[in-house]
Amino acid sequence: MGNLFGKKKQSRVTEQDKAILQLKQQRDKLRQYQKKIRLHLDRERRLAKTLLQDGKKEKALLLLKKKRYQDQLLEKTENQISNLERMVQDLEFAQIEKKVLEGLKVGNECLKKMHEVMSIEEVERIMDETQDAVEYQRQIDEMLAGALTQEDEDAVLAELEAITQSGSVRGRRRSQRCWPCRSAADLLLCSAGDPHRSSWVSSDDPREVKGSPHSNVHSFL
Amino acid sequence: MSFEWPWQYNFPPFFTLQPNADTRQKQLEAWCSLALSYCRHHKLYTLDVMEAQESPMFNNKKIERKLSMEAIQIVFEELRKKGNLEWLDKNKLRCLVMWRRPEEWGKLIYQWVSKNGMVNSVFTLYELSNGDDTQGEEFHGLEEWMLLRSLQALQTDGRAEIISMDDGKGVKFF
Repeated sequence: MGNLFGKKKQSRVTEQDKAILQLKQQRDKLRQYQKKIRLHLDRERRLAKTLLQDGKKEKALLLLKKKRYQDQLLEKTENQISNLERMVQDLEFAQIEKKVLEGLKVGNECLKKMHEVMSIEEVERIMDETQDAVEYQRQIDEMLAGALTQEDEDAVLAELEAITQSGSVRGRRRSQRCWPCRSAADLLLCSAGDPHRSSWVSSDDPREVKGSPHSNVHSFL
Repeated sequence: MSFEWPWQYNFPPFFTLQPNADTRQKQLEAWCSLALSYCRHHKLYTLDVMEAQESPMFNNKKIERKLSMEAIQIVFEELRKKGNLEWLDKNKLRCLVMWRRPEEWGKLIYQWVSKNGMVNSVFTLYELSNGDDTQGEEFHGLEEWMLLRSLQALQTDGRAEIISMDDGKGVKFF
């Protein structure tokens, strides 16, 4: 970046790439050299053949000696090529290993950061809070479902009793009629089931409405 | 597999530039496609105009007709306009023939590279055009200038980067 044209991206060619390229170029040169020697060998073999046919054994022998030497050269270059190629492969593999290491490093750092966010105390606090919330939710559920505890029921009955004690005769008679209702919920059902009764109560004696067991249950619920 | 000549090749007037403009246009079209497919079949990348005139491409010995130098120049000029040909010298004696555009070559090479899982690797140009690994690939034996151009096309796409070193060039694919 930051060059004059601003267009060219940063080169993605690393030093290792250049090293590999150099090795490969060297290998190419050796290959070309091999090609040359092979052609040479072929030619010399043919030449030796014709020399033999012509009866020039000495010369043919000399030629074959030369050929033998070149054969050895060929073998040597073959070894060198395989050396170069091994080097190239080692380099490439080292690059891959480097990438793997980098990947592991990034993963490790990420994991560390995540762990920093999730300290043990924090987790404990959150878990406690969650427990509290669950408890709270359970209470709400209970209330909404309308399930009253025995204590609540007792309190309701006690209040009812108190009211009936202090109420008028008519009020008492009415409350006695309702007496078989066992719980506050039943009471509610009684009043809901007979719409005339509530209207009768209020029209009969307005003073009593406040203190009547029915209105009391209503306000409780 | 021998080269399949178009029917016009055995039609003597085909070797004479036609005076009628429409006919001449058709004739030029036919010559262009003939020249391109001939080069493709024989994997020719550089042409010498003199040699080309003597080669079977413009010289039908069977019917004893050959295209005149003037006509060859016109055909080549037509190819140049189409972007299939480039002159190497001012005298227009030698030219580069691109019967496949550099982008298409680049695509072929990149396909081979990715097929062999060698993306992210470094190659020498010699390795690509003459290596044992590319034996049998279409781009095997590709002339260096053509190879370089196709790699440059890949480079503009961001799929390759050409590396220049003191002795020779290399390329890395991405």
